[in-house]
Amino acid sequence: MGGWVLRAAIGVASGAVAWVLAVHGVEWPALAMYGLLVAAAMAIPASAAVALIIGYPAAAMAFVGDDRSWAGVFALVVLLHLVHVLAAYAAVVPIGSRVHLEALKAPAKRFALVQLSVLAVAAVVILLPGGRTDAAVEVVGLACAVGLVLGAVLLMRRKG
Amino acid sequence: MTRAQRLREALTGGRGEHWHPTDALVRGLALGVGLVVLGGLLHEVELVLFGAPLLISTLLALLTPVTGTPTVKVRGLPRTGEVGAARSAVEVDPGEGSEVLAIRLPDPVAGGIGTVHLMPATAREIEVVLRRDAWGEGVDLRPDHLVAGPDALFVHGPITAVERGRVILPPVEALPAGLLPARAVGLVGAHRARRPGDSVELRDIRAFQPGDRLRRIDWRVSLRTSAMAGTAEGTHLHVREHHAEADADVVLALDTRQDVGAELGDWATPARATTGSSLGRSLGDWSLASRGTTVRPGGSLDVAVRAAASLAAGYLRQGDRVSLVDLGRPQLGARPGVGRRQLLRLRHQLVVCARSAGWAQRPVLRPEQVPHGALVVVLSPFLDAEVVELAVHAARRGNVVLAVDVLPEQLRPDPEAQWGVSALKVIRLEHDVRLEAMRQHGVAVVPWGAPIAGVLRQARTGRRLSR
Repeated sequence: MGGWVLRAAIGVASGAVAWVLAVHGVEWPALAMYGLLVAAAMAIPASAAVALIIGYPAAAMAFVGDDRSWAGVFALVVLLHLVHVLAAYAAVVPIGSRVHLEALKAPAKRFALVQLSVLAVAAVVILLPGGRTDAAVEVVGLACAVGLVLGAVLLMRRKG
Repeated sequence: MTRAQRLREALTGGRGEHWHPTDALVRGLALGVGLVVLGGLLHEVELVLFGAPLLISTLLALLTPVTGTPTVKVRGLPRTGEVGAARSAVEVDPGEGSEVLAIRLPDPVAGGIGTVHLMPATAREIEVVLRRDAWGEGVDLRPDHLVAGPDALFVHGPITAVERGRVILPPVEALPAGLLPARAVGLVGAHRARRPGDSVELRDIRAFQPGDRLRRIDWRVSLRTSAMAGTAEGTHLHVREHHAEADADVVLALDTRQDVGAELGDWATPARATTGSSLGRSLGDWSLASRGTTVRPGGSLDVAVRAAASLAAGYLRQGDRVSLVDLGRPQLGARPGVGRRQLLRLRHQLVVCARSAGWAQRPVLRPEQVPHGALVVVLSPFLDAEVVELAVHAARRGNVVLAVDVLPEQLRPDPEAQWGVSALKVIRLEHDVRLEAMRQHGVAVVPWGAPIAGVLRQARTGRRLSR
């Protein structure tokens, strides 16, 4: 399998993301801009374009349109993570390289594991009744988020 | 760390020779934390769900320790080799926590240093097939590598490895029957010297002299001459004299000043042309290996070197002493010698000569480079008068000279030049005139591939008659 397959896979996954966005009412000028970013990400997978093609659909899905489609959300959860992982591997090999499928076995297993856990959480979220969260719970949630950031920074410092 | 070590590291160490985070780690961390926190703040659960996989996979990668210094070693790569395929092995120690390995491995079909392979970091020893279809110096293996942790969030490298090459010796082609003089009378191969000796081949019958051995007396001739003289005294004794046996000397004179192919339009371009298209290559692909051989494939120098190697092998197999002279660079020759080691030495030296090939003011063949009575084989496209003069001078010095014409037979005119066809005709005519001039001066002229023995005999006869 050639190294270009990873970049093509980024394009295919991003195309699927664009289709989901189009279904959910994103206008074509924004989609055209998104297409340019996808092309840049395919050409240079180690560029900031990848962050934009992951961040933009997330923001668009959350803020464009009033009605929430869980099918679209689940599709984007999988696709955006896939784009992130594909871009990470495509960035370390040249386009003319040869990719052995055994090399992608461990990443595929980890991807499936992460997705299963996140989709399980998403299923729980769907089942939970909606409504206003108590202020105390929100503060605890924010504290947890800050803890995650601090933990990640500490881990990075230890590795660096 | 001493100053010398710091300098060495600065000069030889790549910027990636340590574990360092990639932009994927930054992206996963920034987007993961950002989307989760933003989703919490804005009460948008979709944002939390979008950010969660990125954050979780990044944290998993951070929790997996990646330590150690990955090393890549090449084992079993000989310094010289023959045209074709050879095997070697690349030993990899990827370090702890590594998940994938990107390493450049040679292409077993097309040859060269090959492309980058992305494979699991569990591979400890990778067997590689090295392929070179052209003789000469070249790079066979350059295991550039990069080792990555989970999801390629931490990488070690990329590291540009040291180029490992081999010298591919010119191939020895089996000469067709009749190409070598199997028993060229008075020349080489049979090794019958002019001086008297102990072989079984009769040289002369002469009158007995003090010091002659008694067993050499030819009684039949002695009795006949005595009978004719009417006496049986010893003054009419005659002895049979035989030829001596000696090794023959062969001097391979290689004209490295010109390397021309069949296309006249390419004669002005350098011979070190790259093989394949240069477009679409990454920087890592630029290497000595991509240049292939240093001579024009199928050109005059390529043919001359192959012919020299084959002739050397043939004559050395007969037991002759063979030496090599580079007419363009006289200091690059090889002394006369015999045996298989001499053949190896000559093939090595042919590669050296081809590497240094290029323009020289005039060909040089010093008298001290040619032993008395040696066969001089001049391998040249004969595109100038100087090399013709050199061959004729060698013939006038008493050597048997064989001129092997290595100019490609089917020359094609330059299609872009207005006078391409006319130029080709002029070149052809001048070339034919040079060959004819050599023939008239007793030089045996053959194109490479034609039988040599008969031509040498004719040249020898012609020289006797001209004397």
